[in-house]
Amino acid sequence: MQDGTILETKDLHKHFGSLTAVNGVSLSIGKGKRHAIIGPNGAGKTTLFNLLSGRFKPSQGRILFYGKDITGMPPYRISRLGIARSFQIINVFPQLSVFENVHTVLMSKHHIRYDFLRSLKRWKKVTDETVRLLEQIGLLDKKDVLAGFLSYGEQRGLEVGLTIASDPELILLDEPTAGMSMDETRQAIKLIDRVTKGKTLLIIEHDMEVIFSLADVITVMQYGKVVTTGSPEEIRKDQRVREAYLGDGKHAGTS
Amino acid sequence: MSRNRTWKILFFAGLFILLAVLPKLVSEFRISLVITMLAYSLLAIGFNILFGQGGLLSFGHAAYFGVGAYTAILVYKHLGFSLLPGILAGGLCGTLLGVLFGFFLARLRGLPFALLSLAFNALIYAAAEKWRPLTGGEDGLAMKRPNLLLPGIGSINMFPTVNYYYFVLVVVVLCILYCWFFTKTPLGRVNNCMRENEERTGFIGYNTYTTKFLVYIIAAFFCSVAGALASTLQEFVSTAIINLEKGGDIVFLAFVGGRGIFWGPILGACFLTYLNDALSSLTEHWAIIQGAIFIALVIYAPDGLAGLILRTKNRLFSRARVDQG
Amino acid sequence: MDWMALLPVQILHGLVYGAVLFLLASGLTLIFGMMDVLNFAHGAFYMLGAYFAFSVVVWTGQFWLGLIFAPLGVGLIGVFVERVFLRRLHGLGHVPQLLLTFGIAYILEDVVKIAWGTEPLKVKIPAILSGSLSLLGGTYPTYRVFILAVSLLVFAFMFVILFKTRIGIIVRAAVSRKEMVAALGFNVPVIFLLLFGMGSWLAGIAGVIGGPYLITHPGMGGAILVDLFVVVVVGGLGSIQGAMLAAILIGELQSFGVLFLPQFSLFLEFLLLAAVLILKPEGLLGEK
Repeated sequence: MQDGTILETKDLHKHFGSLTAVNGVSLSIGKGKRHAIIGPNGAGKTTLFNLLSGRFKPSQGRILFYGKDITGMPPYRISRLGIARSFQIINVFPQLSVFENVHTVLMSKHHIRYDFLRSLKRWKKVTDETVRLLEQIGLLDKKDVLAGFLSYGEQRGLEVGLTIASDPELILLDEPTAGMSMDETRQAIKLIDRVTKGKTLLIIEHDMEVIFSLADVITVMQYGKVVTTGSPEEIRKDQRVREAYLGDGKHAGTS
Repeated sequence: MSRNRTWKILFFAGLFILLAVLPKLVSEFRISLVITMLAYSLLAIGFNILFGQGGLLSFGHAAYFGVGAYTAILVYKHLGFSLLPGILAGGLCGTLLGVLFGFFLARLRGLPFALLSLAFNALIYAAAEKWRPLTGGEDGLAMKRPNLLLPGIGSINMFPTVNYYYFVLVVVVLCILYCWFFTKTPLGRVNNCMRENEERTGFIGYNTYTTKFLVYIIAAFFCSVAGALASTLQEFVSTAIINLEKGGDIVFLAFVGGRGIFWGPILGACFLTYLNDALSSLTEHWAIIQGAIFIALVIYAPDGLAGLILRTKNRLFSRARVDQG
Repeated sequence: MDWMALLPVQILHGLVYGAVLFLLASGLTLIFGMMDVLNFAHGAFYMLGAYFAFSVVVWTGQFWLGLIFAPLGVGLIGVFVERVFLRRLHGLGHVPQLLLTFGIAYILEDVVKIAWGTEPLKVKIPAILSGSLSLLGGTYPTYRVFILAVSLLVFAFMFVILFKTRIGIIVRAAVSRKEMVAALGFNVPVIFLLLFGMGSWLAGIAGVIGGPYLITHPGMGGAILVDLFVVVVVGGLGSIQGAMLAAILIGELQSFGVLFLPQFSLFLEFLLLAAVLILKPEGLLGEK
């Protein structure tokens, strides 16, 4: 394990019956880097995230976080170690307010979880931290609105908020700008840039503008395998990548 | 907002006074009915921690009600317990059983959870029927209500229903107050999150198994206490209280009242107890009416009576506000 | 006691009960697998089948007429329930469906009590079926063999329809690709209606043949419901083959359990259910 590597996968496989979604992925994510994963639909990107975050157990292979084997750990354990992920399809708590959504993540961060004898109000510092976080993601004025009633863009913002609230070391963002307009996307890029400063970011995206504004490193996946990894410049020029994904001059499409 | 608060304070003060002087206002039989309403309110509230707040549908909670009921009668009969220890014993036994079955159930959710809880209920029912020497089977067990022993005050005779009423009132109010407090605790919040999005709750760092397990046990405790209170009132218990229909009744109570609002189940419990009493003197076939109400609510008002009331109130008040320009 | 002589009979007992369970489970699993609806009222439909048959026999003296018309009656009721009630809840998840069908079961049980009273009923079975056959070195009640025969026939019938006919293919397609099938011009709501009716019809048949064997009384729906759900879950929600396998399993469990460990048969069943739900929640032969 090299120094400066925060996450490493060794020959990861995931089979769903006869379908192989991830077919031998060995990746190294550098600490503090912004690492994008791109590739056509069905390339196995989200499945890879699901493996890294504990949603699925790999069929084969290992995942190491700071050298520690986290293969097959349940999501809550992985979260507590400092890896957080967002979801492609918005996955918030619709009938809880924006405040409550974020507050709950912070509760866990401060190890306040199963107490049934003390009132929530007791922990004022968590409340204060929630307010600060809401300000950061620009949802403070909506704090009492039920999450289900937010606009799509706001919900995406909350989705990111829930992911970073626990102050994770490694942040996995799964298509955070899916379905956004150009303006919303630009705002989102600024937000992501701001909230992931000093952290390690692993981001799946289709939008090339997002990728080339944010990423230090890009990995291209196809058919469950890694095609290549390199700097944005290298990837832009790589012929294999052009053929497989960028389609020779065309912009990458979404679903 | 302070006008709202004033209304609330007045409401609760009025309710408190009403409950305190109720025995002076109504006959002894009616007091018995009110005690039943109190016990079922606790049952419904306890159940709703799991159902309305946690999003877990269980058809097996009649078992806890039953275990609480049986334990109380049995400890009075065979161990000579007085009232308070009897009720507590009921709650304790129910909780222990909750630990045993929660161990399995906490891994599940949705349909599998409901089905396994149903099977578990059937198991307890069969066990109660088989151990006739202990439970008296369908014929049941009877035992006179024991006295309440309070340190420093001595023994209070519970034979007069009025005395028992005050005891139950205090116990139920305290329990319900705790249940309200529970919704404001960390576990209460995580419980709500589980209902909304169990998967995400795991991803933000909560052990979903532990959460469900704890919530399940807490609900089991209150349901068993309710059972103990009820059997002590009737001075009788039989296996009829554990069977499937009872399991469904409990869901009715919470659902009819409104599972999304804290006091909904209390409303449901009181309403259905009253209806049951009123209609059963008119017709034996009150189950059809109850079933019809239930179906109508599922289709047209899934937020229950409490939901209907709140929506009507909102409509009335917003109209008033509009009129005031 | 001569265990060896008893063994085949015990096994047969288990198969017979398993046969009734299978008839019920096939209807339920069909509905669930195809429509994602768990019908809590299935036990009540079973009960209705038995009671309708009783009345038909009382009016016409003919058991065979009961076998034909009672299940049809139940099927019609099933269609009614789907069209009027369940349809409104499509897509709202399992909880409202469970609650609704539970309410219907509740009502039906009381309706039966009003119409037929609360005492158990004796259904007259025809002379042909009321004797015994010599089987496996001993004698065995003909009626129970009849139960086995009917359920095997139903299994074969359903297998052929679902897998070998055009209708069956359309039905199976409607389940996995609802919108596509609708786009191709098939009327999906009608297909679901017919499905629910057919599932209820099967429950009715189970009631007609099971009633005389398992006692016709208002609590019969509730009594068989737990075993039924265990069969469907263990076999795999949506799998007919799984239902058959699990029905035989549970039938034998009950048969031998009653003999050797009367206190524990239900306990074992519960453990089996818990094990399946925890280790292989899609059931023994289920998919997903």
